[in-house]
Amino acid sequence: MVKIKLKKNQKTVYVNQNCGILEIAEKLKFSVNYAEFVQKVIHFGIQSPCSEEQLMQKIKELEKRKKTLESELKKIAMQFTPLESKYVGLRMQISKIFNDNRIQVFHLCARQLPGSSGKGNATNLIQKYVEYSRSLWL
Amino acid sequence: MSKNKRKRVKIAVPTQLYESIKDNAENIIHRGLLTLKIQCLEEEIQSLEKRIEYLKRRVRELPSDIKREEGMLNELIEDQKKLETLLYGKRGN
Repeated sequence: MVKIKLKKNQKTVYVNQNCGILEIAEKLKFSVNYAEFVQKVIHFGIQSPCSEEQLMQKIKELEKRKKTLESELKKIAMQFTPLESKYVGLRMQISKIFNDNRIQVFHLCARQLPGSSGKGNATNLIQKYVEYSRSLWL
Repeated sequence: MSKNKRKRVKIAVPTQLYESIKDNAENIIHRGLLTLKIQCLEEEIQSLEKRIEYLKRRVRELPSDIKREEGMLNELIEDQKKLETLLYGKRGN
């Protein structure tokens, strides 16, 4: 993987080829930090059926599309972030209370149950948490 | 060297390749770089589209996930109260 810096907008891109280049692109406002890249660039240049103007036009269109998508991403992220935070917060709370309850259930198991009125409730809870713990251990 | 000042650069090109492009080298290299930039932009766009798609899906799913988790949390809080009662008796007694 070759790392290339596009000087104009200070973006870093990754390209799969490992060919040869020196700082060819300086005057074209590209700064390439990997010398062997030139062969690939020349290959692209030879293969490209489009003129420079057509390529520039295509770049303009793509940059416009990219900007639109970035703004869309920003909008959707603003909806996503609070929902995700709430969800993660709930998960953490659930995990904490569940573990607390499990410990309480083990305490309950370890001591004699008071009066028969609480037995049904206790059995249900013990079953619920012990069964779950067992499924975790197995 | 100032940023705006043009810098002459040497490019290492195999002889055979040089012979095939020497008459039109600048144009070919420029087109090569532009093509490369197009590829990079296309990759960036694809990655943005994927990210947006994922976020949209999560924004659709999260409300029901949150509701489900809230239900579970309430159930656990109820259990917690029952356990406290069973272990320590009713509060205030």
